[in-house]
Amino acid sequence: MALRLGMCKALTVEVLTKLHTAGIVSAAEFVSRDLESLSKELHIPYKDLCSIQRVSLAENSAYPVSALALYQNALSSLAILSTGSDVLDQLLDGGLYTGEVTELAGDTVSGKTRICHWCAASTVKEGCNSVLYIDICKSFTVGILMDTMSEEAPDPQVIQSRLSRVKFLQVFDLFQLFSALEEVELCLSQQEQTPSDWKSLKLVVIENLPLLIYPNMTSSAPYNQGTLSRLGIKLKQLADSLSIAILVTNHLVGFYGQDKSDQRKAALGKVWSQVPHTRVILNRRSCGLSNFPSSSEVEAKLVKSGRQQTPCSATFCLSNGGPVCQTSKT
Amino acid sequence: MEYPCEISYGKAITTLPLNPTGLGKLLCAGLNTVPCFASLNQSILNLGTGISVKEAEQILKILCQDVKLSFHKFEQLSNIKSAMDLHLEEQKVEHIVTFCEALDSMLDGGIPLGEVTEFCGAPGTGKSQFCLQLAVNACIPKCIGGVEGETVYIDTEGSFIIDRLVDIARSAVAHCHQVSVTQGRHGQSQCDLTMEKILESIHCLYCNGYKELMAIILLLQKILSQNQKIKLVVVDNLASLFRQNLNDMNLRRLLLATLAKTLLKIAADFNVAVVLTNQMTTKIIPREGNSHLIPAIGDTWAHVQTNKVVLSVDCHGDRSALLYKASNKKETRLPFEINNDGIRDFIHSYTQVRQPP
Repeated sequence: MALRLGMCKALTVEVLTKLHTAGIVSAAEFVSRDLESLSKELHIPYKDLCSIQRVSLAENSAYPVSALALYQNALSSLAILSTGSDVLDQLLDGGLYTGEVTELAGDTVSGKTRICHWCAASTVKEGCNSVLYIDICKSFTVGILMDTMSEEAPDPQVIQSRLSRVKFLQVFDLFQLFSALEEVELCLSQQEQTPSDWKSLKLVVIENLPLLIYPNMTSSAPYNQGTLSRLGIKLKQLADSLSIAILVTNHLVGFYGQDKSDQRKAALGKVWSQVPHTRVILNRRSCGLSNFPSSSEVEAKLVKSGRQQTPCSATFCLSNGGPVCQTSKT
Repeated sequence: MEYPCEISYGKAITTLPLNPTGLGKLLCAGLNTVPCFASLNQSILNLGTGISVKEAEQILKILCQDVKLSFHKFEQLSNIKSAMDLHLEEQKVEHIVTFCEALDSMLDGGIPLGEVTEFCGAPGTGKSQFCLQLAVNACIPKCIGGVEGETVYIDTEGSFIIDRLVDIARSAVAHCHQVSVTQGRHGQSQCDLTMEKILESIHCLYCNGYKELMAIILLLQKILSQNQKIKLVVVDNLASLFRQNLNDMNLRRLLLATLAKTLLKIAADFNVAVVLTNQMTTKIIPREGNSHLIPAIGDTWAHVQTNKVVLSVDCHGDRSALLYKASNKKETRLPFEINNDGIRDFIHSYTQVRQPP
């Protein structure tokens, strides 16, 4: 935090300029100085400096919350959103937890987009939940949602109301993503003014995250890491404060190793790998372009989780329409 | 400068598009949220952070813009579309036909406007032929179901062969007249398509090297906003430039990501179809002991396109197209043919004709 006018009565223009000329601009710097010597050096009354210090400490410190309050809060606001596939739900110990960031990583055509659509479709099934779907590509397909929904709700009016609660936003860079997230936060925190179909936002899907981040990657590693951890903090904060589940899709990078020890891992590096609470890697025997068609079986491997044992994998089928699942957990 | 504090309550400045050095200096000075800048002007900023006055002015401008944006309540959120709106819009999406009916119906009517479609294939599988055919077909008049638009054709390896284009255009004109006659009430042709018109509507850009390509792509936004008639952007061949003279993999990733972002943005903003071609490369999986042919230029690029069609030729010379990636469509393989007229459906009787004498 910077020292600024109006923070405290003692912090007048004159005092501020004096502090600036002594090279003190932030509250942190001010607090860490010895006030007595500062008072002598800059000819500012000691009492004034004390009151400035008191204000800046009070303004910047956190206040304690009891664990009991946190627990009660969690009980009242926690929801577990189904992914729409029994196998995946079982793998994730129920589904997507609100307040957490879940990541799906996989190669192209490994079924990431489809799973995201299933999650969206099953989230809007309940109550008046709504979903925000953010992507850089135009991968959002209403057809998948309709197919999934029409399996169990043949009433067109029900489908219509569900569809209208899934929102799609196409963003083209990281800053646009940040400002969209900021708006969501602001919009939901002002309760009276929130438009009704945003009120129970339960799931935010962010697809193709690396494509949003790579254009902002400069050659300076600290800046890149800063960007990634800032995004991580933002997502976690959003998930926690608004009690929504965040689902992110990521790519895979690396080489194929000998035997079973593939070096394929989720993109965006070590810093990002700390961010998601749960990470699932999807693996599909896709044909590439050999002569046989791709198998419709996808292996989902849980590699990071706070609840389940890892690594742990399950296989499910990608089909047109709703998920047809053969449970096989290993 | 007065900022309405409650609007941008504590928004971190790190989420704004400021340059990294300036950002670093601001953060060192403890100015980490937007409200911190209330009642600051460039000279105080200069004194407090060591940022030059000019730079300080730019920073304040960006901040000011942001505050203004948040003033227009939830600008992004209120423009958001729900799946229902998109479903209604989906029926209105226009397509550019390929003249291969099987392929058109596989893609729900042709190459969709507003999306990025990629054709991949080994040399000689017909990628450039598809591009030429699409460039011609983009100007089929609206009265017989075309999009009646112009084309920007970016050629990187000299595959824009004008004689071939003329051939394709000539038979396309004939085909359109025939369709128009059968559709028309008086047995007269309603369509005024001529070969000159087709050739006039194709703007060819030749580029040599990835720097030129990047420059052209970044300029496209301007070109498209000046000429609203453009409905198709073709890049043939995207991969060739990035597979040579570019050893720095980080740079390649950065360039490709910027390219992807720009092309996606253009496709969405101007509602044009973007068609790219890509080469193939070999991926070796030691565990399985064999290798696969996969589209080139990396794993990240593979995620960019909405639709991907892989073209191949088998040992008998039969061509086939595989719809490899498309949301909500099954992976399908179907035969097609390239003859004098361009891309056409594969007709079975041809196989008998082609028997050796």
